[in-house]
Amino acid sequence: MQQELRKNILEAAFYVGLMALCLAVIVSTVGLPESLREPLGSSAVPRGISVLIAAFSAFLLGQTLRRIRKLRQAASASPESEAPAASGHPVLKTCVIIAAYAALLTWPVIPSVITTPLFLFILIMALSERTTKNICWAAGLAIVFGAGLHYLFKHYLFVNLP
Amino acid sequence: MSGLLDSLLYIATPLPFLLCLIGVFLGIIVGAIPGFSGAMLIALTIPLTFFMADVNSMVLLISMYVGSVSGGLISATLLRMPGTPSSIMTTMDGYPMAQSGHAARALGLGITASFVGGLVSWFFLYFLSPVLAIWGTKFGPWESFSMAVMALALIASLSSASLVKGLLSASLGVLVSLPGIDSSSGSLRLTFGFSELNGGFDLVPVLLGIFVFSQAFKDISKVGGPIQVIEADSKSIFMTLRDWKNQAVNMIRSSLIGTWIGFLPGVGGSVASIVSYTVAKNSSKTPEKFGTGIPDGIVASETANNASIGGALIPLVTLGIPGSTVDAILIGALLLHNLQPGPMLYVTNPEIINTIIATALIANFVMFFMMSGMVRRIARLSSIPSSFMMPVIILCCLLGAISISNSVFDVWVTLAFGLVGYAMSYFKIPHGPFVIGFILAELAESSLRTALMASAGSLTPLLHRPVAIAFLVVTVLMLVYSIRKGRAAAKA
Repeated sequence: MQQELRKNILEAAFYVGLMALCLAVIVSTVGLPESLREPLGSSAVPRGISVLIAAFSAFLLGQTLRRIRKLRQAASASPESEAPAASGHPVLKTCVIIAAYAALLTWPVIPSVITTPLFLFILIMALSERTTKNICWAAGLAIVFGAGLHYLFKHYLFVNLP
Repeated sequence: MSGLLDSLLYIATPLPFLLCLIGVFLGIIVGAIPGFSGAMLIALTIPLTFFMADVNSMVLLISMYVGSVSGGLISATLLRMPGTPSSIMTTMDGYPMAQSGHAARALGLGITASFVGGLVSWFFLYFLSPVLAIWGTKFGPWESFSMAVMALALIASLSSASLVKGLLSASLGVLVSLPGIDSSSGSLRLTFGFSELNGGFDLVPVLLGIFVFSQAFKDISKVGGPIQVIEADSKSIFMTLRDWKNQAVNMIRSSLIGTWIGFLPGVGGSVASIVSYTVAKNSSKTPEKFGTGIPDGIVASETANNASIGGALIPLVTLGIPGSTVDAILIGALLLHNLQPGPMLYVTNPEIINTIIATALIANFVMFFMMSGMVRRIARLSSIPSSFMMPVIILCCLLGAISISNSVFDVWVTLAFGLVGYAMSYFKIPHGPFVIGFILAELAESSLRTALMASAGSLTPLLHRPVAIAFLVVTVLMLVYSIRKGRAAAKA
């Protein structure tokens, strides 16, 4: 139940975030010039779509808040709480590793021929058990696919990798 | 006819045929691995096709499409996990039949049904497309606008249990397509100071993020689960004469259902498979046997999901409207090659249309022979752990994202849309309407503004356009139907 409650709170935050985004879009269209040839101009569609998104988000937020209230009531009625799920947040770890790799591509301190296989090795190891067998497999895959894909994209597909 | 014949002969030459083999093979593998999908594979391949000839890239992508829809049968039958959403109903009878020791028969029935479904829908694709394309050339901006709105409303209302979530997804897709230079006024909008957004979001990083990254994140969040595959022998992989006789009506009916549902914008193979399975069950003399491992269930589901491919390709090649999410990605591939999907493609680049139609036919044959011969080996691939496969796929995505405009900024865009896509899946917001909204937004906005420009801002000319009115009426009816269905479900 706690997990369900957490999920609903996150969902509510997602809709609030979308409404904030809509507000930012509407504000950013204020300075756009009006069109002389047709009544809509550059700003009408972004504003209209933002209003729609905000309305849908508000509707879904209302539903989610009602669910949260019910879940809270049910949780207070049955005080024994579930043990938190054991999780190493693999998605979060993956995002951090990808962001680090993207940062190294954006600000190339180390050449990508090194960072690419390294990225693959670290990501595989972050997602699998640290056994000798897995380390060997990860190293092999990192060298074959990491270096191979780097070579393919850089030299055959002419991608500007640092 | 000669154009189609030329395309068929072209695909029979070594390079295109090799691409067709590779496409079908990769499609089957991706379809067979739960968690992967044809949309993922095609989105991942689009950057590579950037360097290929237009016709060759279409051969590869359409072959992948055919292979991926068919491959879902393998894991649905042997693992009770539909490799693709369109094989969801195959699990109902395929898995029980495989468990009772007839795995090869279950796979054989599914492969043949897929082949027949693909073949029947191909005839509709070939014969209906020119007629619809001629009709499509008569469309003005009002019709284009209302058609785009109808496509968005259809997918939004049918792709999710919640209409509001479908509409929210479609609206988000439209919003994401808006940054950059406004084509009508030339002014910059919604770039928030990022010069990289002056040209808007590139299609490929958005697709890679929404489809591939979000799915990879989803799979990563549950890595380590045990995978058990039922072994299939190679005996009785082909249907007997008795099977053909017993399943003929079921196959034809399911093919027609699949083709028609595929034709509807935004409604893909999964709906086709569910409707076809339900109709087969309701018209059976022994409906109680459905779900226990009978051939009728496998045949109904697999015929319909493959028939939906040909059906979904009809609006794509004739009107530039995606029949499914994969078709939306294929439209993106055409745009990437500077080809404008729609009725004029028949005039400007008929070889592309003929290649798409010819590939749908040849890939169907290749799929049949490949799956009949290699199904046992392909099934074993389902047991490769995600923890090894996902990092390689993520790396392909990142490098593929950079390759389109040689900009590392697109890596950040892919990551950001991956997180958006993951959040959407987590909160059960469908991805299909997002992508179709992203692709159709420009057509809808530019058509509406052109129409208003021509009418000096008046909506009156819309009343004199019966086709546009019909599209808008369908839109309203669809939304009303979805609202009533939602209320009925809430009461129940």
